[in-house]
Amino acid sequence: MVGAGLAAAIVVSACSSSGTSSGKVSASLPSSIQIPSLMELSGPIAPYGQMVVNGEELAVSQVNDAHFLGNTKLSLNVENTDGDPATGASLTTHATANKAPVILGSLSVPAAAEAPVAERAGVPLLQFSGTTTISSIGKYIYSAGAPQSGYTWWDFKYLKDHNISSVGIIYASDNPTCAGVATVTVPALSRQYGVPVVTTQAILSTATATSSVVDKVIAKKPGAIMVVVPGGLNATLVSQIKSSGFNGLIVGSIAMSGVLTSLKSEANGVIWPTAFTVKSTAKAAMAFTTAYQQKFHSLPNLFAAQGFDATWLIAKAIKDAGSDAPAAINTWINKLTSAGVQGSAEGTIKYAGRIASVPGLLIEYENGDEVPVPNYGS
Amino acid sequence: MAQVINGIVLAAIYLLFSLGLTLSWGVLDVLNMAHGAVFMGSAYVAFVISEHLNLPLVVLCLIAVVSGGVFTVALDTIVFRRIRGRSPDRQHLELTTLIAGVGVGTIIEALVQARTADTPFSIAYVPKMYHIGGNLVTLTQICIVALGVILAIALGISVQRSRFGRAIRAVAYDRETCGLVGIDSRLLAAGTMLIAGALAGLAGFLLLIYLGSLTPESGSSLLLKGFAVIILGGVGSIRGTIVGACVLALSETLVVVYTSGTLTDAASFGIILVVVLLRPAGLFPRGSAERA
Repeated sequence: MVGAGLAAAIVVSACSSSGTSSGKVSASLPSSIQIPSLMELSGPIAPYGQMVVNGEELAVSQVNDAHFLGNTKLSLNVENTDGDPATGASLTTHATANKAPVILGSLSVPAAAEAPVAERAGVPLLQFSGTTTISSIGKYIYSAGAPQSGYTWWDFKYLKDHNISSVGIIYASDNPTCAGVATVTVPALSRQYGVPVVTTQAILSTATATSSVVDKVIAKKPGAIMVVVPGGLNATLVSQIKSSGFNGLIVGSIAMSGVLTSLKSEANGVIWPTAFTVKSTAKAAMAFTTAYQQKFHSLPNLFAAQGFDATWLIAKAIKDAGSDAPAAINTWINKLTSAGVQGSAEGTIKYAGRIASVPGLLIEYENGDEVPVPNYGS
Repeated sequence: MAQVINGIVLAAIYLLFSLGLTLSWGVLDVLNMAHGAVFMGSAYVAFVISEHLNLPLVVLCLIAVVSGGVFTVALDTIVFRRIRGRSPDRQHLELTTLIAGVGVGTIIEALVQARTADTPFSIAYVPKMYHIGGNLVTLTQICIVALGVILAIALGISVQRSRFGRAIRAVAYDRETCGLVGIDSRLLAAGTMLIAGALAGLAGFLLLIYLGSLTPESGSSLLLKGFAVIILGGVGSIRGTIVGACVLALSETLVVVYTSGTLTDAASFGIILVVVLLRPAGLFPRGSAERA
């Protein structure tokens, strides 16, 4: 049975692009279309990978329940890349050999190995890695997970609005996404918003000598410290910064979401930008959150929203193409993304150079809760 | 000065972690690849209990210590002892022990990953702060350094001079002959593993409090550092472990201060590589009769 939230999500999603997707379903579509979903379902990234797959599964069930593709049923063939590029490439080869019409790709390093294989085979690949250069591999490759570099500007807008004169950066140099944000995006934003970066310090994701790096940054007396590192290291650094007597603002990245809860009230006041929050009051986001809760009995996160939005985009492209031929689907993905995909769980998704970009918003941590900051995208 | 304190605290953490490793490797020839998982798992047990019971930090610390000891004795009894009893030769014993340790460590890590959804866990604690020489020093830092020094000295003296210490050195030299003269090598092995595990539990708890949080993978990333410390110092040597921990921690701190955090592992392991090339048995090489 389709619940109210689910129905709302379907309505929002089905009518959500500036392109088409509202016409009749072509009779030439087959009775079933299987989409390979290659994802990290084991290893440290597995919890995030599972959320993407959950989002994809929710979208598929909505497409089928609503007969969005007429009598054609979508299904996912979920395969585990194990975080291994060779496995990712091998699964992509297998998928293209089996005439997959389109592929939902990985979340981390395997995505870069999957892309050339899909491009050579002429099969559209929508992957979720934050590495934007992957989409430059060719016209069939899309970065469906909006890179955080696209909404990091919220941090700097907040710093400027609150007259914070300078910022010190700590970033994980062994993580390509973090390194890209810290060394490319942040310097540009620093110039744009007039908030100088007084020091940029690298750290390894596995570092134990965190206090040395923290003290080195604090010694430069920045007004704020920006932490751009993956996963659990965020909690360690926030705790170390606080216990080092730093009283300024701590800003971060989307990787802070969900990992600061262990610090309880110690992390109060830390802010970071995100592309999705379950506290969003946007109609599509609320409908997605409700439908997700009904299906999985837990709250979604950004990764689930990305999987959901990407799968709906594919469904719309198949419908508009009236075909399951990869080239036709790619043409329509291109048309839909060029127009901008409105009403998605993440808001209006615009694409430039096949890279998704979302409006984003700013989140503040408060006693275990992640609260949207008023007037900063919420 | 602040960075000197950071270096000393880091050295004490490496020392507490490595003492247990060097004990089990030096005495029992057990290269315990599950040591990192025991380190993290013990801290996790303390965290879980702290979520349900409002216990003082000292009690939680003792829980972690006991958990580490129990984990490791169980591991030795259920896994390593059987391997020791069935291995046809030393090479087979070492390889099988190593793989078994990896297996057990992976299972412990995966269980904690599943329970935490791979997110950090922590115990709420705001440490007292002291101004020493113009620098802020936390009570946690003082405890880590004090415990590292006291336990290393106590373990060194105990192994060298106590009856227990003489017995475990004898077992390290010739297990079969020890059995003939009435030394219960099984009990001794269990005692050694108990101490090694308890030290891992203590190190895990202290690091949890010091860093503010740990992740399920925290033990794995420290395991490589632990092996580096004992290879640098000389397997089975307490004195070598102290020196190895200091060299590794201070070189990492110096690298961060004067260059970039990116180079910490490369520089510190580069130093170890040089030492190992010049002195393959480590800075304080020990014969099997002198081990531990």
